Amino acid sequence: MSILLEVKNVSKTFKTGSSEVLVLKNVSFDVQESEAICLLGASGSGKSTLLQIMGTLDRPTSGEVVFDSLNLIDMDDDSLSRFRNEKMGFVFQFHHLIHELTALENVILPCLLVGEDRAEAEKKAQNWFEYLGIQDRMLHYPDQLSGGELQRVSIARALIKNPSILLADEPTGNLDSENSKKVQQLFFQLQKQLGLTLIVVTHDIEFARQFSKVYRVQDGHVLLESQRLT
Amino acid sequence: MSKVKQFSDLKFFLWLSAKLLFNKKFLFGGSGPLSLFGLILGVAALVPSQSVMRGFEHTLQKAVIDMTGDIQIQRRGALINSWDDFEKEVRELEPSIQKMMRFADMEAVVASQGKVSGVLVKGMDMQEAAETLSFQQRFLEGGLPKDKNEIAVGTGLAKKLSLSLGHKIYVAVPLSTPFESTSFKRRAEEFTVVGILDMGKNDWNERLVISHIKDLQNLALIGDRVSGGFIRIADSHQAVNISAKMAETLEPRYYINNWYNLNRNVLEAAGLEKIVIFFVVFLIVVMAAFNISSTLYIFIRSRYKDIAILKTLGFNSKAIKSIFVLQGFVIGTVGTMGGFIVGIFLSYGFMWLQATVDIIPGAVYHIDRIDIDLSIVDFIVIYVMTLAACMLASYYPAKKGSELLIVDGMKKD
Repeated sequence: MSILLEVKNVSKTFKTGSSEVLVLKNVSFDVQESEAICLLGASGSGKSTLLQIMGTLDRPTSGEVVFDSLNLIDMDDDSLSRFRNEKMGFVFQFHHLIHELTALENVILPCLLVGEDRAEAEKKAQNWFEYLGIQDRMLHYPDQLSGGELQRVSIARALIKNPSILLADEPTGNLDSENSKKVQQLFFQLQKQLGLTLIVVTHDIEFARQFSKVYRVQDGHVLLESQRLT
Repeated sequence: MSKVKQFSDLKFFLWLSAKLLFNKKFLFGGSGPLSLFGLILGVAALVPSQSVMRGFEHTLQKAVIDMTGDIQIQRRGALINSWDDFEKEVRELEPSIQKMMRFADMEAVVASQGKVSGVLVKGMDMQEAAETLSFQQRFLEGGLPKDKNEIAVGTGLAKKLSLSLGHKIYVAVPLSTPFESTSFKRRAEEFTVVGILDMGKNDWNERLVISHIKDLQNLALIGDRVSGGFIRIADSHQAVNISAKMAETLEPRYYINNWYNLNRNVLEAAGLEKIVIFFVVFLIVVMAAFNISSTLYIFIRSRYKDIAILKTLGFNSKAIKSIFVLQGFVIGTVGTMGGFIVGIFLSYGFMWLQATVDIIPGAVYHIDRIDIDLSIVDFIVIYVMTLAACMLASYYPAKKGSELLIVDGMKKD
């Protein structure tokens, strides 16, 4: 396996009024291709900030994030947007679907943005809806779907462009235990079947135990907590 | 980027803009419907103001052309002895002439039922008039004089002298005498009113009467001589150029005029007023656009989370800006179309009001009623200007929205 994503000496400082809070302190670690890693930590530990920096949603105060030999920190807004569209998929604690669009329309948005044929995009989306078992909910609006269904739709949206890496921030944090387990299983199923690189932020220890590699984010540092040989 | 790709991008962004815009929150709550209503009102005010002003120009032009043709030629200080020779000379000079007819005119006094009024009698050959002019359609009662000593009068004169069809009036014309410069002879004959018409201009309605040319020639003892001719050309808008060209050869023997010069002052004033009124009324649209700007600003603030998620999906700042500027385009289009519908109703309401109440003072505006002219050019100008105002108004909120950092947007409730 080769290195897909490198986090090099990343620090992040937030300014609150006159004081500064150092959330990440010189963090460095690698993510291998097709690896499933978990960032575990207490609330406010900086794990979501780290995920956002790795996902190019935020910029570090210092340090580098390198994806497949490409330094993401040097890229401008246009290039980063294109990069996110092609290479990265995101799933958040809340589904963040657009209320005025149907589930299908939400899922095909990343394809339509880059000028893909709508019929082809819908066909791809339909396959994902079938794979995720929600094919009968395609034309429903977000407020007509359950929490589990909403999260599945947001997973379909994250995967429609066949990204190299899927980043999830507390993806089960807003689900009941039954749906939470189903979504957890889904993540590992996807990772195995598609060879997807998976980075998940959670504070759920049971969920974290299922990952081959777990990093603990604590006091601004990232420490390898456990590694299971696969 | 290919044109096909640009079009598909535009189509996608328009679709997304409209989808995000037309939600319950915007349509049924807050200032959304109010700002849209303001825009509709602004456009609705522009439509009748422009259609009435354009109609004013058109009504005046039509009235003059109906009554006197595109170009009028009159001999200075004398009468034309041979119409055939004169017509030949003019037609050789300007081959584009379509129709040409003779006329004689003479200052006169009419008297009826103890009332008198100064008039200008226009004598015309009724067959030539039917072929060259279009005033036949302006008759409110009766029609063209056909038999001897029949006469048609304008609505103003009919009202002034209480005339109706069949009334007898005396027409007296002065005859100059070469032997005594301090006096003139007069000749009078009785005529029968056979038609009352709206000549389109207030002063004509009150002063012009139409008789057969033979009757006027007999009354004024001028034989077959005529005063001049009325000319029709294919394109009325060429009348100014053609009459100027004819004047180079025919003046100073002849006095040459055209429909535009006859009303130059009024038409130029109307043209200027039309532009001024457009910009004054357009201020309502500008104010509505400010309202749209503030509405969109609030709307975009409420969509920060959606903007953030769109950015995670690969939308760059330019794309986000496009979505919200296009919302200005969508609001502008919907508002303009709504305004057009209301404006057309208002324009026809103005026509109804004219027919019901005497709202146009003829003495001031030269005409008694204005036909509205709903021109496609005006609609296009209003649409383009309104869209420009709405898209400019939406630019600032769109720019603010596009500058949003993803992490900040994610934190918003």
